[in-house]
Amino acid sequence: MAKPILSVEGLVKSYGAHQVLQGVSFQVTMQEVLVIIGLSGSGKSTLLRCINGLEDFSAGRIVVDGIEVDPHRASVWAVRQKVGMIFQHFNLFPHLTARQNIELAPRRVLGLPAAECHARADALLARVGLAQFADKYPGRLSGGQQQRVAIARALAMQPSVMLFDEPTSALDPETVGEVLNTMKELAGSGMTMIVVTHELGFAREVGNRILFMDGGVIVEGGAPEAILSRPQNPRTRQFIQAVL
Amino acid sequence: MQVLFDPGLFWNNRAVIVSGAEVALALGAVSVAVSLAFGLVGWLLKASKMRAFSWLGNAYVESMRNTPTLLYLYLIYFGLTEVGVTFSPFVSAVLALGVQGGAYMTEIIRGAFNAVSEDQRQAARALGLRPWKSLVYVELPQMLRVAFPALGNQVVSLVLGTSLASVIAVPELTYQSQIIGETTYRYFSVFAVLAVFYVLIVQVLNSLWRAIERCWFGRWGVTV
Amino acid sequence: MAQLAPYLGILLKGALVTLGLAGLSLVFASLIGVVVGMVATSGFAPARAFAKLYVETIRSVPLLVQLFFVYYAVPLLANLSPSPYQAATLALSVYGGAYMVEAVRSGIQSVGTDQRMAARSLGIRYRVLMLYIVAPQALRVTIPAAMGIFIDMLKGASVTSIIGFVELMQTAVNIRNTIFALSPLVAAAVLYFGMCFSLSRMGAGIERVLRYEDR
Repeated sequence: MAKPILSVEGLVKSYGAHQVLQGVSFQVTMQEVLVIIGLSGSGKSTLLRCINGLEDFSAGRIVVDGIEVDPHRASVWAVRQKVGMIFQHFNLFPHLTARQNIELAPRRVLGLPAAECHARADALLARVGLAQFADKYPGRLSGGQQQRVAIARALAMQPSVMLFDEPTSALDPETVGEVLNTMKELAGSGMTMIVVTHELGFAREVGNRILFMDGGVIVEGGAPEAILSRPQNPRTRQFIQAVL
Repeated sequence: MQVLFDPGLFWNNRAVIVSGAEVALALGAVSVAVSLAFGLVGWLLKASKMRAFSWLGNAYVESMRNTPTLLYLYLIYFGLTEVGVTFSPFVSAVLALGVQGGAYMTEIIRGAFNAVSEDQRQAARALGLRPWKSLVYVELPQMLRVAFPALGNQVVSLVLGTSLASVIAVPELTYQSQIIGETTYRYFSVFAVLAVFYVLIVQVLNSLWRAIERCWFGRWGVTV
Repeated sequence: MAQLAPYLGILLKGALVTLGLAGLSLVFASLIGVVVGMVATSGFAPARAFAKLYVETIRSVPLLVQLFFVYYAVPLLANLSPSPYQAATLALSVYGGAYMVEAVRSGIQSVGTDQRMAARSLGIRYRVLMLYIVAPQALRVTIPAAMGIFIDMLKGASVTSIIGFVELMQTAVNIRNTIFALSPLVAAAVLYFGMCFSLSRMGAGIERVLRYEDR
């Protein structure tokens, strides 16, 4: 078993009286593509947000690339530099062009010189197939294009792990494909990815492992073929049958 | 039969009228700057986690919104002399307009800050941008867009407010018009044209503001 | 501060005068608001243009200048000479009227056109429509706005001191010129605050009540 680049142990989180995560544990190895599936409210998004310190948690331990995640300590900023996050609603900065969106973090967080940031942004835009949209504002881009810019923006920080929080759920069906293709290319290039999604086709094609979450716990986990075709747990079976 | 409208009046007094307009606009501009400064302080106070500060911020906004500007004009120009502080008429007017206007600025800033969606802050944080940098590079530009129309109204309001400075003899437009009126008795001409002047200034300011808005923020397209 | 004590009574009287002036002007302003407001939402384009002209002009000219115009300039036209009180009331009413027009207009427009269409298809005529359908709903928007305008008029009334009308501001200034202390102005501030703040609280309360009627 290769050394894990990310590990989550006994993660517990509550919103007031409601326990969203009730003891979640798993590990992710380098270059692994982990897909997390489950119904809304099962805690998947919250789990991702805990990993890069956007949410606090009550108990448990998260370690990313050697750094323990603690939102109250300054070390969380180092974690955020190593972890890239893609949001369901893209969250591009509307007042900056596509290129400027990508340049912002390398420039202002890493302090890289402007020319290098510019070059890096252009290279990444080309990589996601949007080189000609460099000077366009997000307001003028389609959802799929915005999400691809968001991926480029996260890649600009050269993260060790990329988190995807339902990246295609807010997209029109026509544009879902272009984003999934970009994610496929990314996986192919060796990026470690945790993807929360309903796109089971992607899970089967690109995923190395699937985790099924329900009610704040991991119900079942395994290889994509196993989970999707021969789920052991009745709850998993119920979910798969409902979706497929 | 008194000549109701005497255009020659303006030609003869044009120097004084122009200087009055200049003073009014200068007064307006400086007051806007001062009110922005006070507005920022007021907002930071109101948004503070410490109860003493937030109470102070609230007290500032509520007291300014429920008292007339003229009062502060008198208080600063006349009242402060009782405690040994003297300001010139221009400075007193700037302070009065600025401190009072600052309360409205606080509310504008507060509204704009709350309008920026939490998603944006999360995206900034996820990229590693610390709170201050997030504010400067991500939130402030978006706040500016949201606040722009309201800011424009405040600017107009302050420029109109400069007329009060005539009361403490700041030689702005209203003051000069009063003088012309008193010396020529052509009150109707004088005040009618004064009114037209203000209407024009407001129209120009509004058009300018809308043009800037279109030019600067229009490029963003339809935003979330 | 103790110097102020003998003058507190006059100060309070000044406050009452301010309230009275603003109150009476609010009544006139409301009348203007309703009449011109209905004109502004009518189907007759020149009438709408006139209403818009009135509102835009009044809102683009400082109250002080409008006051001067009424007190110094208008008498030259009509061979009248209004007292400071009359000029103050007229100027404040016209000023408040412009804002009331906007308040009435938003109120009327808050009642969606679908209601108007429904009423018309039921055969309801204009007067009944306005009185029984539009007005009650419009008031829910107009009354809170009117409270705000009343507060603005209370503050605006202070400007009338400049043409010699003796209300709270002038009273405070007179006292100050007699005893040369800071306190009369501070006291006036407290009184203005008291009046305006209570009214704004009342307005918030009224707004809440009006909204409850919704459910």
